[in-house]
Amino acid sequence: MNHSLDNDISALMDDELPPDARDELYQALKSDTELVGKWARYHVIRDALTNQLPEHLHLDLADRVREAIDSEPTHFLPQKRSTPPAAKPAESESEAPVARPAWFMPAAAAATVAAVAILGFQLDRGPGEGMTMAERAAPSGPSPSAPVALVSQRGQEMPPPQWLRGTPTVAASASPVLVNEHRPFTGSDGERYLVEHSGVAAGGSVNTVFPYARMVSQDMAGVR
Amino acid sequence: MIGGTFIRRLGLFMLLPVAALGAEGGLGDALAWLQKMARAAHQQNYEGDFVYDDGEHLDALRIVHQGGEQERERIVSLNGSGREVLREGGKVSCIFPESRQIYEDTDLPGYAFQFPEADIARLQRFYDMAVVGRDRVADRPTVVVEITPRDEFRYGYRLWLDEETALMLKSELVDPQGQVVERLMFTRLSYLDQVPEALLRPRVRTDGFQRVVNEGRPTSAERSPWLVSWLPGGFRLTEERRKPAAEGQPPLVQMVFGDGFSLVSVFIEPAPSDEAGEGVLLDKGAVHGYSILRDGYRITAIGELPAPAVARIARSVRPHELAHAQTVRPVAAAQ
Repeated sequence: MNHSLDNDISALMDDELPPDARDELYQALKSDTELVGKWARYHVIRDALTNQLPEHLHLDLADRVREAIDSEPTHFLPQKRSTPPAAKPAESESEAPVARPAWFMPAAAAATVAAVAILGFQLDRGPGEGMTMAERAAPSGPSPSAPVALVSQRGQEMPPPQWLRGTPTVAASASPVLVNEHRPFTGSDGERYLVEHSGVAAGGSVNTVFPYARMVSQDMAGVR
Repeated sequence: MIGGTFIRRLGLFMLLPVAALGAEGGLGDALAWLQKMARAAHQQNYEGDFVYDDGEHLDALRIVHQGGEQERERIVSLNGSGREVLREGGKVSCIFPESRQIYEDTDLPGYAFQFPEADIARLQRFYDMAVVGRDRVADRPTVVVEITPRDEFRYGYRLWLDEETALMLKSELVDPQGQVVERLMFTRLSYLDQVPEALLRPRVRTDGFQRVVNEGRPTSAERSPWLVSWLPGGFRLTEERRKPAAEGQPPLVQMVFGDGFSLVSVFIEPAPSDEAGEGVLLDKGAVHGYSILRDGYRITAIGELPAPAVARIARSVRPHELAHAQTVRPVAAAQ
């Protein structure tokens, strides 16, 4: 098995594969049965980790998959750095976390953090656009959709974002996104981004007043 | 979510007559009203007060708008430190009294909503639009236009338009779960034949304020060095802006994508090697931002979209391989 193609499969499932590489991978999938098998296994793994396996499968399959994952040679994308290196205690090589694909990591975190904020988002199929090759080609996705979830970093308790309060979780994570920090647009960078975006948004949004209304009322965040 | 506030109760009360009046209209009516609204936003002279509710805060603001060839506008908060925004053509000044700063941006695109005919067919693919009734806002009769997205990548809108002028007097942004996440409503409005100059001047004395100028400028360049490999359907690149960075560093990039009703900006900037902040979620009302670090760059997507969609856009950004070799260097190598 070509390790580069393994990486590409992982990246494709995470919607992080550039279009050129996607085309190359799909060409390979057409002719490489081993690669197709790998593709299917990765989806089963993902479904198991997100508790989305079909009910008729044997109940202990998820555990077996998890065990298998621990012994699976990892050729995934490098693990994203969630904290600056200086803030992390030094880890010996043997203690270093195994590199996981991005869609894998939060599922592992979910298993250890009871109150992890896995915030579901069911992205229904759009009218033809807005989906990647990963969605179009996935043979065994959890649903005909591309769910994305926001999860807290392992061990960090965060209040749910304002936009999700009171909203039921509607889907588990298949392409999760790590949220290490949640805050208003404060600080020099946050304010700058909001201001610079507002400058263009005022000309392209259906509501021309909203962009600057947000910014003008932004200082209320400082007196919460 | 916005809930339990005075505004919500007021809104529910005011919506009651809508169904009773039976003013529903189809797509054609909605499009006609939206086109009228776009023109009104450019042309009308008015001043008034409105409330803005982002689900966390309720703020009162004043707006003065001069339409026509020399469009000018002033928005000022009636609460807190009294921030102001002054707009004149493509130039915008934001006054932050609390930090004694003035932020200036020039060379911005035309700043009132456009609704070109060419966009209509595209918008219909991703939104349902209808006139759903009539109502009264700021003591003026309005028609209510509802814009409902066909997928969950974007927000919906409810717009209350002045029956006489089509100016938007009230607006709600609605998330994929049907909850209002942001609301704006005029409480007082006066149309003016001419706008007195005094109303367009800032009331804050800005002597001694620090002036911060955005040096970002639109580029018609060449292929962008960056590729955003996933966007919700219908979103297209509308503009790319670049501004110079420190010596030896690649320029800072702002790519702007829109679907006709909303925009998302993708900022790509070199990040110091010790920069923290992977997976930072920012929000303000219906605007969300999501930041990641990749290959020595900070990538931040910001837009009026549900947070997961914004995060997904940020995560899809990649150096464009062909352009990468010419213009984008890993920060570590550039240092």
